[in-house]
Amino acid sequence: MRVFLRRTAALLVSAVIASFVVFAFLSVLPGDPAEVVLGTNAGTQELAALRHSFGTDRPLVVQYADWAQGLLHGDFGVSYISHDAIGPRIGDRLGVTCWLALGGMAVAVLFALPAGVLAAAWHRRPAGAVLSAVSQAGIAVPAFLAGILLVYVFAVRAGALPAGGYTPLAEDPAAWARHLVLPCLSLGLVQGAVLTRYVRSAVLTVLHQDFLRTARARGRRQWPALWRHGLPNAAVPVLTVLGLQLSTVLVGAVVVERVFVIPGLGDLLLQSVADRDLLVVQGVVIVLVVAVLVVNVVTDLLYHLLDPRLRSR
Amino acid sequence: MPSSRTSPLPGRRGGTFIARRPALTAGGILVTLVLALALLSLLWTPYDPTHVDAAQRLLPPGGGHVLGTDQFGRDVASRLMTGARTTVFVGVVAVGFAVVIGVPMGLAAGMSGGPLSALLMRVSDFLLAFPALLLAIMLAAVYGTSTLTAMVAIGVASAPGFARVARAATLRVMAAEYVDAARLAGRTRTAIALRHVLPNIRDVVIVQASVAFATAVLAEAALSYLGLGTPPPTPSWGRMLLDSQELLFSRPELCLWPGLAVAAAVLGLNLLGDGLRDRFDPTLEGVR
Amino acid sequence: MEAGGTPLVRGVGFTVGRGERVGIIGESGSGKTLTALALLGLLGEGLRAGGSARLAGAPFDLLGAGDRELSTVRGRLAGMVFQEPMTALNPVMRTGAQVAEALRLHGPRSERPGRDAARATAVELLGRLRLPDPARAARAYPHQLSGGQRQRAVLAGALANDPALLICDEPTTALDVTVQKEIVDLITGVSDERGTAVLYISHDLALVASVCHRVLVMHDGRIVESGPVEQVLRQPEHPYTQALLSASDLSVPAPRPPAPAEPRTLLRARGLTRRYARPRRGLLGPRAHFTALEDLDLELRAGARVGVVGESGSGKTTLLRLLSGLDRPTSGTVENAAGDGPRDGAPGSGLQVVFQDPMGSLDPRMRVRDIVAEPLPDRRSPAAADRVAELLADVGLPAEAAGRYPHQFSGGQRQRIAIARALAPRPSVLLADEPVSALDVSVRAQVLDVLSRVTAERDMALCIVTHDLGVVRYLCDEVVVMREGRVVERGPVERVWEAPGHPYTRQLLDAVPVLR
Repeated sequence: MRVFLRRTAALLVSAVIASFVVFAFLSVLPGDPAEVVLGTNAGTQELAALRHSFGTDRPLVVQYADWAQGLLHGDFGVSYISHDAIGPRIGDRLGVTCWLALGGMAVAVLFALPAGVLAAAWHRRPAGAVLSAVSQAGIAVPAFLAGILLVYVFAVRAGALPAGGYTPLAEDPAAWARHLVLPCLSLGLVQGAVLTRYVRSAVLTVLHQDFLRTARARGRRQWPALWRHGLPNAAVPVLTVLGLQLSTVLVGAVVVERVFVIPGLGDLLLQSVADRDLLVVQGVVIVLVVAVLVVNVVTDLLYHLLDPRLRSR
Repeated sequence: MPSSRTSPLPGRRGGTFIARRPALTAGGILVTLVLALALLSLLWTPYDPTHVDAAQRLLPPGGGHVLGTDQFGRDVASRLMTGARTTVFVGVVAVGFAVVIGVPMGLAAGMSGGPLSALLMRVSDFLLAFPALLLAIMLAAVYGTSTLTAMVAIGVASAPGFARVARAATLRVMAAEYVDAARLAGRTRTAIALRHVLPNIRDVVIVQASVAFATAVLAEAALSYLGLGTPPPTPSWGRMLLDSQELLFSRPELCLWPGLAVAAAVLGLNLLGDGLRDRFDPTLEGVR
Repeated sequence: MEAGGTPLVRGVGFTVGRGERVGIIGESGSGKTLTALALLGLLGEGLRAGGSARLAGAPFDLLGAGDRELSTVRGRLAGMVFQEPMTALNPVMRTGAQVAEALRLHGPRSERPGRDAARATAVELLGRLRLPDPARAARAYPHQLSGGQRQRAVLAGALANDPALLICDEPTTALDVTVQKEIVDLITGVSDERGTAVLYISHDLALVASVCHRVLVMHDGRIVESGPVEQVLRQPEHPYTQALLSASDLSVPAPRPPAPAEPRTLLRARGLTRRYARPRRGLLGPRAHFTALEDLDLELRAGARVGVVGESGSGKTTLLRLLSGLDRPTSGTVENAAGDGPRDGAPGSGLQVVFQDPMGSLDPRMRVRDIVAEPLPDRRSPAAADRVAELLADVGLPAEAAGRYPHQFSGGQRQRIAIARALAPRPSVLLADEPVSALDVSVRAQVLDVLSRVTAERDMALCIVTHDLGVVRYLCDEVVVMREGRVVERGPVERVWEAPGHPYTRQLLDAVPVLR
């Protein structure tokens, strides 16, 4: 309970610092939104007027306070370029990216748990070496490359799945699923390969620990001993990696969205960068950063739940 | 106390280096190949990698162009070689930056312990929330895209990894009795850092560098693919993938070459890292 | 038995009768643990055992059987207890559940106890093994128990189904002597009471002699001698057994140097106290302290040989760190006639330390010559090289050793290197922290003799901190017995051994197994 409170407090502090860093980064550094909108040869008066309407002529501290206060109510401000409210736009896109990230993680876990455990249990046999080699090769493939390859095999050659695009779940669940299969696979298989290696090494470590031998000396057979005693212990380090990976997947979705032309957060982010629509960039980045921070804290708490040695502290 | 642990397996004696260290050998070969291509491209490429020639568009492999040409009539093989240079350049600078920032921080935190150590862990935890890709996008939004922003982003994002690894290794060394012995021998803290800590954490840092380099190659490719890395016309593997993606229906092999190049470089670096880790593993020391 | 074609254990044959206790004696690498593991099919991957092993009640050869068959033997007909109690239990599972596991795995399915019944029996078992508050211990996770308590829990699991054979692999090596005595008494008690046969593996001759009826001596993967304990200890036939016996026997003290006429006081500690802050419980809670050492006085004179004895947690290592200046006392003073403790950057302080772990106290990346020269002011000079050669010769190492790295030496040799380094700056006080507890019996006496000789030749004060009473008896004139941060007794070794004044000293002396 104390750990929970402490971590949550730390999360809040981190989030505030993060919002400040992101704000400072995108505001203090060169690049005046008014100049971006009007072009460099605009008149001074016009610029001043626009700055006033954006509020960028106020002191930075005031601007930050204003922006941060808005964030608390889910108000991300109004885009300098398109003049719409940013909050709802981010909201729409966030759902898409979440589906993608969760699907990717599901693929990764479903692939990595059995593959990693088997690779460890068979580490002296050819089958284990093959599993290790496959995961090693998988790590070397960037997600967007995996996406391109999957598109080639399943969309171009087989024509079985769409090469890109997105349909909202509410509109047509079947089409939604069909559009998400390839993106989730390309995110998930690569992360799965990474995860496999961590699962393998965690299980391998556990395999050589004394308590497994003690359990077998009590009459547990090899596999049940691994299942009952080994895996709960291997889960502890694997969980940490899993948390880190969820963050990676969330950000990696940015690239995969580009491959499959999916209107998610990443698409919005890249579009805003291209338009130099800094307030939107600021909004999306803070959402992603806070998401990563939350994931890290949740992992940390689960870690404490799983390991009694940490719990009693 | 005398232990009667199961005695370690005798090391696999005999056999060639390749047979004994397959990961190290394969990784070494792949990495050397990429480095050699990058260096060679400084002196010579079959064609000018940026020369656009409408008459030479999309030539098949063979003939004058070993791997054919792309939709602008540029020689794919030459672009691949120059792309290796971009990759190596970005990787070396980014990892170098991360080492220079991260290792001294980790070393200082590990040796001093207490509040500084805790602060460093907080900072590195915090930096973990800013992956290379996000940093690069923020930098690109402000400064526009360039190789420099990509290198800085990747470097900053990799530094916490080095700090953590160096700190953990330093803590292990500082707990060793030989450090106590060195203090009793009258060594100063600086001397202990240089004579005992650095040599003993070197291996972990090298392994981490190899892993970070692989991550840098992946990040650089992703950034170029998103149009946030090295701007055209300078060839980069990620950009080549982006350009060839639209030809996936007609000329899929154009995607294959840069894809293979990225995968080979990353695979090589990861294998090298694994191989070095095994080689440096202190539990294997003295067995051989 | 072989690993990857290299034989590790050869031609080992023996029997253990009902109610009989057989000991296997050997040093590290002798193959004694492998032999025990092979019996229950618990060898690591890559190791294969050939031959045959039969156990009453099991209708098959243990060495040829598969995991399914063997799992019916393990925990039911034969139980096993391992060396390291700290890691032998699953850290994320309650202790009681692990003991109960043994009960729920054997016998016909219909007769197996339910979860609750097994838990209740487990608590009962823990109580029989004299765990204080067994119900609470059963609910605890292993990290909440002490080493001795964990070993009782492992033992409870091994004995749960009343096995015909109990295999013990150095079950008390990691424990304090007083705890060792309790565990060993439990094992012999169960064996006498229920007729359980015991196969007891240890490096400690005296311990095996006090536990077992019969003993097998293993060396280099072979049994070199076997027979009733009395016979093997009184009339050892094999030269290895004879050597082992004389090396284990530290009851005849090392030759003492003549005491200097008017010994100078070299080191004086007054009222040494060291407290460590515990992490705060809650933001506003009081800062808790743990007192590792309280109000200790100690004086070291030239030529003195003082042994500080205590079990884990007695504060003896803290004392050593305070005396050497590696740590500072919370209160109290250390006066060092030869200069203060190491201020960072200051030259040698006239006091040096030989540490416990001869692997950990030598930097693996440095050559022996650099290690030994480290405390010298002019490390690179030719004079330093000469001094290193002289020191290596003094501790009995060849001159070529200077160019090699620590991992190329055996444990005993490494400890000699550490001694050479400690002697390099010509200190007047030598402190030694468990200098031989990481070494095999056969080199133990040699290293102690080196220590004894070099300190005598230089008229140094020697202070040894150890859990091993035998070492103190062998080397020291004066003994300080510590418990929980305080001195309980001190005096001349002879007097304390013959007439211990404090009950704890008596308990400690009683707990040490003695060769008859």
